[in-house]
Amino acid sequence: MSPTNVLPTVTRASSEVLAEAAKGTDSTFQLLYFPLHGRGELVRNLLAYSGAQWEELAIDWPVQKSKTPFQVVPVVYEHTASENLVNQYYHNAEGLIQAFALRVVGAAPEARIDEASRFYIEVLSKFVAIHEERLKQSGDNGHYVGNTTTLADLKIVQTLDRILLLSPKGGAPVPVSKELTPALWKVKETVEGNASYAAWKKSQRSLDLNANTKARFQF
Amino acid sequence: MAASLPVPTQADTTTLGHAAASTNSTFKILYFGLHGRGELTRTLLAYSGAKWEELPVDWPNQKEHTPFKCLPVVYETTQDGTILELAESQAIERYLANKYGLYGKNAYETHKIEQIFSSADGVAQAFSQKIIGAAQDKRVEEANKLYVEVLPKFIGIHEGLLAKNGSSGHYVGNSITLADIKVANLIDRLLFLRPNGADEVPFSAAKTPNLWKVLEKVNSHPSLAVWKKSDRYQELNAGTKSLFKF
Repeated sequence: MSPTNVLPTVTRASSEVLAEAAKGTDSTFQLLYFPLHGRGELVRNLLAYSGAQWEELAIDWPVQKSKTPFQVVPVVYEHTASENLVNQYYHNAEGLIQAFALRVVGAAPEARIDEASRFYIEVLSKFVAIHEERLKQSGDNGHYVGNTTTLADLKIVQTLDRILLLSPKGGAPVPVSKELTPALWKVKETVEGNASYAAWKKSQRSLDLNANTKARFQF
Repeated sequence: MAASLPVPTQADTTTLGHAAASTNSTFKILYFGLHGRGELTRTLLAYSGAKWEELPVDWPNQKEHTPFKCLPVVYETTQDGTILELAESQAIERYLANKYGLYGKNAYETHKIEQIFSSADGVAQAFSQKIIGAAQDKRVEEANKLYVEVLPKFIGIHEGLLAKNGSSGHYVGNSITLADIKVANLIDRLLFLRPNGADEVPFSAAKTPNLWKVLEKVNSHPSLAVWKKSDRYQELNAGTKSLFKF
């Protein structure tokens, strides 16, 4: 459980992405202000009026002050539906990579082919099915949220790349491909269409890191 | 003869709202012969490239005809001939900023601009109350206090925010917004109204490079450079110093 005086981490993105998120009408809010009316009164009234779900953050001013943009309160953290979505996808991918690390990378090398097979069938197929469905529902446009690349896209692509890289020699093929998972593959291709990203992926350093990673985990 | 004021068009807000969308308006400003609370409005009018003029002030006779019995008031004549009455300096500033593309491309940018505006306005209010409002024999002391207690915090935060936006001389995106103009205005005023004998105001190209870049970008904008060189602007400089007894 996280400490109660920790402030939410603000999403970093271009103002176009943030503006899209800001349009949402089903945001939830967290307010940081002292326990008096003061300069927070009208903000609290507006939040109450709106009917939106909102709560007060625990104030610990000496610790929190330097983390606020103008070193004053009130500060309000708006959790938009689409920001929630980026976070959801992020945590979802994080769950997948942790399961992969535990079950496949963590297995003894001689057990890996079997463990990988099981992982692909029991965990990865479910993940893929859910994500293919969601991507189709949101327009199959190569993006998880909106129509620009977000952290969700990059996190998912990195997760899939890791699973694809660390597939045991002689084992079953990873069930992720253009044919099997077209919507996910489109996200991957969209990210790889970014020139500087593509250049990085082709660089000697990136290829060395691939080789080192395989070697380190004995793949 | 009393200097009479334009008569605002009486109509419902939907009709007036349509008129307000005019991109071809002319303006008349009613404000005293100093910068004061009219400065940013005049700056925005000058920036806009719109045709604008000053109305002669005859305050005892005009006061009753203004909505809040204070100035500035601006009368906008829209392209269809409607006359809109704009009042309350900050409300006028936001209205003009919005009309002339200085208020952000989306709700999030507008919020960022407003953050900066609010932060700068806090310092402007403190300066107004503590220095302009001080007895003349206290001014040097109060100014030195502000320079040491209030400005460094403001400068630290704003230099940081500007660096986060690429040290481009802009607070939001890569073009002039109300945020840039408000902060440039604040720096200009603080530099201009340094009491005789007070310490150096801590803004300079060397000490506050990012803020200085904002100031230079605003002041070198063609329509603003022309405005600041104008005779009227020099009159307002003199009027400001004289009315505030600097």
